[in-house]
Amino acid sequence: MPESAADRPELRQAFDALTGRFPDGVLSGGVEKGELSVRVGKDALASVLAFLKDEQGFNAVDDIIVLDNIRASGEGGKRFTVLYQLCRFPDFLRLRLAVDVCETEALDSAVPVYRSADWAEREAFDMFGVRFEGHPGLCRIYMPDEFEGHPLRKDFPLGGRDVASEAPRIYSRESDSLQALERQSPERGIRHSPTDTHPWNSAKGIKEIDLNMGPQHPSTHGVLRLKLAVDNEVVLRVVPVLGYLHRGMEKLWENLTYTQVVPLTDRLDYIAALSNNLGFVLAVETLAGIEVPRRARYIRVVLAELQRLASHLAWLGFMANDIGAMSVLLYSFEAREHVLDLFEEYCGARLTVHGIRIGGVPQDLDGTLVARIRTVLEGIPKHLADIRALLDENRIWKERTVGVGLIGAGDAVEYGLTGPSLRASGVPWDIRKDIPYSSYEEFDFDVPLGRNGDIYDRYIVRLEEIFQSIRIVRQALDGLPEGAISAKVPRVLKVPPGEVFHTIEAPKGVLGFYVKSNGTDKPERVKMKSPSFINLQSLEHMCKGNLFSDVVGILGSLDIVLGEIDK
Amino acid sequence: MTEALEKAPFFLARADAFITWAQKNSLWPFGSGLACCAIEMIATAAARFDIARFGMELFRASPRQADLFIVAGTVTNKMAPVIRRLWDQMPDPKWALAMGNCAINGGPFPTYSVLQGVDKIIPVDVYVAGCPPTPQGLIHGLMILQEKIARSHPTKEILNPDARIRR
Repeated sequence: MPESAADRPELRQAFDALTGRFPDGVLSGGVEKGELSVRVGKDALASVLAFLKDEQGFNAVDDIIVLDNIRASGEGGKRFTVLYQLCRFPDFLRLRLAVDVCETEALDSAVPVYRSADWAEREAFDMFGVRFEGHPGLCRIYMPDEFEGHPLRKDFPLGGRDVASEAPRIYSRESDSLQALERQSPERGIRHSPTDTHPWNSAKGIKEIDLNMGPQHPSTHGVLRLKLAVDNEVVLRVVPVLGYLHRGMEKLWENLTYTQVVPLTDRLDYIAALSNNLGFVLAVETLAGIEVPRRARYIRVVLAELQRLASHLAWLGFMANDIGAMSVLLYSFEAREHVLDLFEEYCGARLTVHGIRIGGVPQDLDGTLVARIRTVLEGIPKHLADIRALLDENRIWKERTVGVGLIGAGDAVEYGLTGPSLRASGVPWDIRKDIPYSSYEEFDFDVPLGRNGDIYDRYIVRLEEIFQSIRIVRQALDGLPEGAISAKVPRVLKVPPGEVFHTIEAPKGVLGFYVKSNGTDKPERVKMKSPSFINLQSLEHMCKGNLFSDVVGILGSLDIVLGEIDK
Repeated sequence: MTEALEKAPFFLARADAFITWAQKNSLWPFGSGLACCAIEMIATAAARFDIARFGMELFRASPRQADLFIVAGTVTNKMAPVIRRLWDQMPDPKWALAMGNCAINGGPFPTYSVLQGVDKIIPVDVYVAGCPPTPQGLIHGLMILQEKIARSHPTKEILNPDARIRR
C-alpha cells in the first residue's frame, strides 16, 4: 500500500477550515486510511457543500453512498447515513461527509452545488427512499416506477417480494398479450400519434418530436434507452432511461462473503473484467491490511494493462461500427482475440476471467506465457496501424467525429467525467499517476491528452493509451520480481470493522469501491462508483444542438457499458 | 409429360427435408445483446469464429427480419415485457436460443430484479450453458438447433396451423 497519503497536512487544513467556519454544523471528524471523514448536521449540509466547493476547491463529488442503520441504530438513532465522497484535484484530497437522516426527513439536494450528484441522488432515492429537496427531478432511476419498496434497505428480501407471481402473468399466447404487456410497461416510446393536436398537423410545421431509442437498439451498447426530443434533425433534449440491466448486484454482495464477491465484479464492466477485480480486491485489502507481495502486484499490472488494451480495442470496433465502418470491428476484434487468448492461457476464461484474488493472483506467469505476451504485444501495433490507415484520415470518419460531441475542460469536470473522455478534454487526471496503486509509481508512462474534447480526440487518446499500456506491460515483464504470488489470506476472510473508498483507473474512467465492514466475513455494504454511470450524465450536454445521427457517435465515444451503469 | 421431365433437370425430395434444409442453413439471428454474453456473441460473429460459415452472419437489429432469437444475457423484470414483445414481433417460423446461465435460470443473480429464466416468458429451443459461453459453445448450440430444425416437420404446420401453436 502506498502510505504516502496516510496523514497529509492538507487534510488537517481542510478540516480546520471547516470547523472554523461551521462550529455548530460539524459534529465530529477524523483522518483514517488517508481519507478525511467529517460528520455534519443535516441542516448545515447545503452550506457545507457550497463552502467546500467554492472556497476549499473540492471540485467533484465522486459518489453518494447510503447506509441503512436499521440493525445498528435500533430505536433511538436515525435510520440512514448518507455519505458524500468528495474529491479535490489537482492535489487529490479525498473527503467524506456523513449526514444522518431519518426515514421521514429530507436532505437538501447537492445538485445546485455539484451538477454530477444528479443521478447519484436519484439512485439513493430509488434504492433507499432517501429524499432530496431541491433536486430537479427526483424519481426512480433503476426500478420501474410502479415498483414498491426500496431494494437496498436491509429489511427488503434479496429475492424480492413478488417476483414469482410476476413472470407467468406476462407469458401467454393469447391475442391480447401485447395489450397486456403495454399495460405493464406504461412508459412507451413514442408519445404522440398523428392526431389533430399533433405538431405535424399544425400550420407551423414540425416543431418538436419525441423520439424513443432503445432499449433494443444496435447502437445503445446494450439495453440503454434514450428519450429524445428533436426539432427536425436537431437534438433538443436527451434523457437516458436506465435499469433494464439492473441485476441487484449491491444487494447480492451483502449476502456473499468477500471472496465470493470477486467473481461477480467481473460481470459489472464485462469488457474489462480484470479492472473490476482489481478495484474491489484493492479496497478489501486496504481495509483488511493485507500486504500484497511485489511479484503479485506486478502480475496484476500486467493483467490490468492487457485488459485496458483489450477494452480499448473492443471500444474501437464498436465505435467505428456505430458510425458505419464495420470492417474496423472485424480488425479490432481480431487483435483483441490475441489478448483474450493470453487470459485463457493464464486462467482458463476469456471474458469474465476472475483473474485477481484477494491477497494476490491465482496463477504465476511462467516463462512460456511471458514469451507469448511479448509476441502478442509485438503484433498489436501492426493491427493498430491497419486500423489507423482506415480511419485517421478517412474523410467520413473525420466528418462524423471532428468537432462533434464537444465538451470543454470546465464542463467535463463539472459533469464528473473521468477516464479517457476527461483527458480528451485536456484535463491531465489519471489515478495511476496521481494516487498510484499496485506499484504503478514504479513504471514510466505518459498520460495522453486531447485538446478539443471532441469524439476524434477521444479516439486518439484511447489509441495512445493502448501504446502506453504496451509500454507498461513490457516494463512489468522486464522487471518481474521473484517471490510469492499471494499473501497468506485465511480461507474465511474476516475483515476488521471500518470503511474505505478506494479508486483505480479503469479503462472507462475512475472506478471506486466503497466497502464497509462489520467484522464478519460478509460486507455490511459495498457501493461501486461506476465510471460509465457518471460519464453518461454528460450525454445531454454533448448532444444538445447536434444532429440526431451524431447521438449514436457521441454515445459510442463515451465508452459506456450497461453492466456497470445498471449494476 | 414424361418426355419433358426426362430432358429438364429436376430435383426430387421430401418437402419437409427440403424446407428444413433451407431453414437451418440460413438462420437470421436477432442480436439481442443484453449483457456480458452479447460480447461473446459479437466475438462469434467477428472474424475469428466467423458465424458466416453456418449461413448465420446476417445479424438483424429488427425482430421483424429475423427468425432466431439469441437471448444473450441477463433478462431483468424491467426488460422482460420488452423481450416478450420482441419475440411476438418476430415472424413465424422462429426459434429461440437461451445463451448463458442468466438467460437459462437467472444464473448467479437470484435477486429481486432478475427474471429467473427467459423460458418463463418465451419458448426456448436450445440452452447454452456458460457464464458466458465461449464462442465455440454458442456455435455448438447453434449446430444442435440446426439438428433440431432438421427433425421438424414444417409441412405439418402448414397443413395444420394449430400444430404451430403447440410447438
